[in-house]
Amino acid sequence: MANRFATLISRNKLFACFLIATIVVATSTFVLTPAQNPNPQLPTIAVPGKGNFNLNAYPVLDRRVIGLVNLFRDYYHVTDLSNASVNDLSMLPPFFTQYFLAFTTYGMAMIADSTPSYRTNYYQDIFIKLIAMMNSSAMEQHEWITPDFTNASYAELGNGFRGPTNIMWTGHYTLMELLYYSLFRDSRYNGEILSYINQWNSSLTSNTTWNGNSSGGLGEWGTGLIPCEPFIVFVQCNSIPFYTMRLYDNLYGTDYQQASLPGIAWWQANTMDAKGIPVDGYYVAQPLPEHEGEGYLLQTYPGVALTQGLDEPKVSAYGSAWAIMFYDAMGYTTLADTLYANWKDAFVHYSTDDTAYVVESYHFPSSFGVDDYVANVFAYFCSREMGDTTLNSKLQNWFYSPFEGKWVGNEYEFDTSALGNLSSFVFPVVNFAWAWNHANATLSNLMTPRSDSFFTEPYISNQSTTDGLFVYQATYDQARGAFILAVETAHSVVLTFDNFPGVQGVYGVNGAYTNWTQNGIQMLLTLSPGTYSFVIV
Amino acid sequence: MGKTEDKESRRERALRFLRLESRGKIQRAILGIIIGVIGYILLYQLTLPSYKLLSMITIQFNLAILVIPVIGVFFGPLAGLLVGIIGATGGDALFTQQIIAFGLINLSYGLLGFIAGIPHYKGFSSGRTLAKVILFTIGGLLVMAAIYLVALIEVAGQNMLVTLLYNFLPFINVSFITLFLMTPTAVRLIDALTSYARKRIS
Repeated sequence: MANRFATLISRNKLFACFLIATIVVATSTFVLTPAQNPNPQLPTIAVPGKGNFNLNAYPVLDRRVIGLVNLFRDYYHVTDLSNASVNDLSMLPPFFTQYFLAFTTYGMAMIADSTPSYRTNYYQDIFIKLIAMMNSSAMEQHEWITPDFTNASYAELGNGFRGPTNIMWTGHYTLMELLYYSLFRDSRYNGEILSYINQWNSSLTSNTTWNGNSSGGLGEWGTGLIPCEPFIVFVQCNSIPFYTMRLYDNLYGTDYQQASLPGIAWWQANTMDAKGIPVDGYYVAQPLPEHEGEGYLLQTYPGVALTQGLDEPKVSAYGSAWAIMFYDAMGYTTLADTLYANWKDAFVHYSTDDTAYVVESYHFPSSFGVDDYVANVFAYFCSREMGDTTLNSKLQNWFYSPFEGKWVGNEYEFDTSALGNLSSFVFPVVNFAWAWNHANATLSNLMTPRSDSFFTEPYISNQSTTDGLFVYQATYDQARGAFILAVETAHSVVLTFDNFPGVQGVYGVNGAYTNWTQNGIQMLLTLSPGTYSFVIV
Repeated sequence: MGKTEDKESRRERALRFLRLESRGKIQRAILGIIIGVIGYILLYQLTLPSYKLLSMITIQFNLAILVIPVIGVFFGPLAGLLVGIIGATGGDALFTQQIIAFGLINLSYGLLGFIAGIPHYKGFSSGRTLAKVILFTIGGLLVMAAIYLVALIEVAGQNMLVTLLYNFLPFINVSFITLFLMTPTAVRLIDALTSYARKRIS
């Protein structure tokens, strides 16, 4: 037998070598593929007197999204909210910094909204940290003082980091605060929120423009839009305050959104390029010297911003993707659908049959730089918001192909270390973008805030530890009077439920779970290490 | 007379080169194309485990692409060419609804099968024959890679760095690992199995 085998091998030496090599490599792909810690299977739970609850019918968070939230909590030292800590922006991308903080907050809002009845410091501290970093003196230095936007020639026009010519900052900052209020009903920022909304409202409804002319119903800047920097208005930047005004109106029953209507009509009439996409900027006054610098043709004003080196309007895949998703979320779905179709035609490159990427400017389809990279992030977000799963999947295949997702303890991360120095920009962006894209909620969902009565329903108000805790589902089903909970914990943990008097029982797939106590309106649920799915009634 | 003979012999040579010299060979080639296209499309969506050795170097097998040279080796260059083109186009049409660079990339898949199928292989138990299989398959891969690059950069107008880092390197390393290791293995195994089956039947 041994001889026969030896003869067989000696007659097939080359084949044997390749077969062994194939088996070794194939085995290595199975063994070395990072463990992905799959999501828990959600069961159907029978509750006496209430029937069956299929937990698959309720919103659920992907384990990797929670792992990325854990990564970000550590990455930003979220538990340290001291002034020194919020002024340390060194871990943030060195450019597009304010956008990164803002869009991280919007993504976090979608993630937190996916488990609406889990409202503890686990999520709240992240919002507080991000908002404080956005409001820090370090951010002001980075975004306003260093680029010399405090040029004295603009001072008399109300210039200032937190002033009416910087919608880029005030818009994002206010929306970050308002989303926090909308999700957690913590009113600590309410004074600031209202003051900024009133500032916009005043500037958008002014009867005279900044240079004393009649505004023609188009506010201080004669466009119905507010500048970002002296003195250029952008459609995408103004989508943020316009979204904020609508969310505020939905929360308080006000009608601030009226002030945005002339501007929305104005940009559709005055800033569309030949491909049916809003141009990237419109000068309402003389540009700053750096915008008239080398390589630019003479910029006329008022007028659309020009592409560097060309007598063509400036276009931006990232700016227009950003605008499209916010207009869609505001309910301008027909407009958003039209713009999105034009945007896809203009910017998307189908790289291979299952990958795609976008270029920042269709005037330079073969170039690729940081702006193009950012454009792909916004394209990824926009395609998701627009429900375009085909393009979203192709963009993801392209964007994430160099990076391996892996678990490091309770944290999930895409390893970008191979990119060397670029990693400081790419790491937070790549990791956060994936979390945003896999949250259960969307910007459109966030536009419909929770009712006041929602905040009187049972919710998880505290956890004895966040270490190794994964809350996949936490939703109160008001119609059936039941709390839906799916949770995994690596350590013993006590979850505190508030607004939950008179709990009758906690039910899992194996029947009643008894390790809980009632304490007034609170219910304390004690869990040993493990994964649990419960219906609490 | 001489010219007619020359013409006929050229035609015969061409048919022999394409393995279409007899009715039986033509039927065999058609069968090979059908098996190959179905196999390619069935394996198209199969994602096997992978890991990254370096950021752009993925260790993974792509079984769909393996079908193309294997069909070329057994059924000839025309069968390999058509399986590559029809399989890639069919996979795109069914699963991604996207044809890149006017179908040039799909043509490059066909050329992989065509080049792998050029030699008349005899006796796959011989190491020399398997070495020839590897040589022509990797040759096909190199032609395929060259067309792939030209199609994306020159025809689709993609940025060169993006194409190299995001498309070409991941594609070429997975294809190379698959074709280099698995083509001789698959060819020898299929040959052994078919010989065994033939013996059993007879």
